[in-house]
Amino acid sequence: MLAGTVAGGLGALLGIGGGVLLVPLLNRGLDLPFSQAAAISLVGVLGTSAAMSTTSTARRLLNPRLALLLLVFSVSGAVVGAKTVHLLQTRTLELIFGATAALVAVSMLARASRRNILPDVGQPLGVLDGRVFDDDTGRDVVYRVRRLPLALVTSAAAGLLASYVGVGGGIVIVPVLNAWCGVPMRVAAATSAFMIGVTAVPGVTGYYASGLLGDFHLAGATVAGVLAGYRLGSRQSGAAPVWRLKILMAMILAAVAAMYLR
Amino acid sequence: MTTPEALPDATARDANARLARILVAVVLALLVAGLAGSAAGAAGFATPTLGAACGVLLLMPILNVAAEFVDEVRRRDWAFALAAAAVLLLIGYTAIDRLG
Repeated sequence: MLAGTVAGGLGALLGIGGGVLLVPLLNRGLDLPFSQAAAISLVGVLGTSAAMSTTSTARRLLNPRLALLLLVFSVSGAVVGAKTVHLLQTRTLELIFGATAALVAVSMLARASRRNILPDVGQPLGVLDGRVFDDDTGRDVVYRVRRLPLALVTSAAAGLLASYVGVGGGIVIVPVLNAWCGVPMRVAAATSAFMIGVTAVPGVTGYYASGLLGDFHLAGATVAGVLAGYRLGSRQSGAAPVWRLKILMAMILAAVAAMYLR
Repeated sequence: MTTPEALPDATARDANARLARILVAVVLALLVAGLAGSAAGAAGFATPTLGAACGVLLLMPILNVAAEFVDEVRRRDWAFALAAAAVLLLIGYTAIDRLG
């Protein structure tokens, strides 16, 4: 439950699903086998996604069409992952997880939030483009989605990761959408929050069928912690120094990466 | 395909957020009951209750996609309705393949 609370709190503060923290806490902290930690972590990701979907702001920022298109690829990746995860050895999964943690640590520090917005002068928009209210300028702005193939490939990879190592994939999708695909950070985070829950479903179903969720006691306690942590994190989101949290998180993830890649 | 101006209005999105809040409250109630049952040693009550909580959590993202599917069909935007249907079919396939 404590692991879930930490993951849920950071999810609210940093806009991530928390899987990259839950897996090492459950695997190395509670000595659970890696596959079981990944299974329980993925249920925790479902909890974070559910908590994020309760806010009207996130719903308004969501780009549903972009999400639907990316979901076709992320869920396909997750289905392939759920069907092939048993072919990989635990050490291989640990290496994939370690590499993911290292990637996330770097992106945490390097990720510059691009605004990616244009003034709304009534210009025609494409089907995936969007119009949102910009708090900074106090008026409607528009954004244009670019490099869609890159977003599609990233989504498929995020789906594979979800089923293989129990991370939601948002930590991969958000930076790519923001840095290369023209999507404003808050829209990318809201769209990713919608996606990670759906992408987790094939993995959770597969892990349940393999008996890795057991009697649901650990999964239930983790989700309870995630929901409590998300609520606590949301209350602190205005006051918390997010850049300090990002540095702390990057340091923790670098340690996690070193632990799994050794 | 329609332009973004035809996307669901704020009222519809607020209604979806309200439904999500109700479902999260149900999940929380089931988790509290299940974990209390577990602490009291009533595994026969705790296991199905916690399983039900996980089931509702699993259902929430599927309902979100289903709601988007209905929106796109209502707007006769067949390309995105097809994308939503494909996602639902993939999830249905997994459920039948792994649990069937």
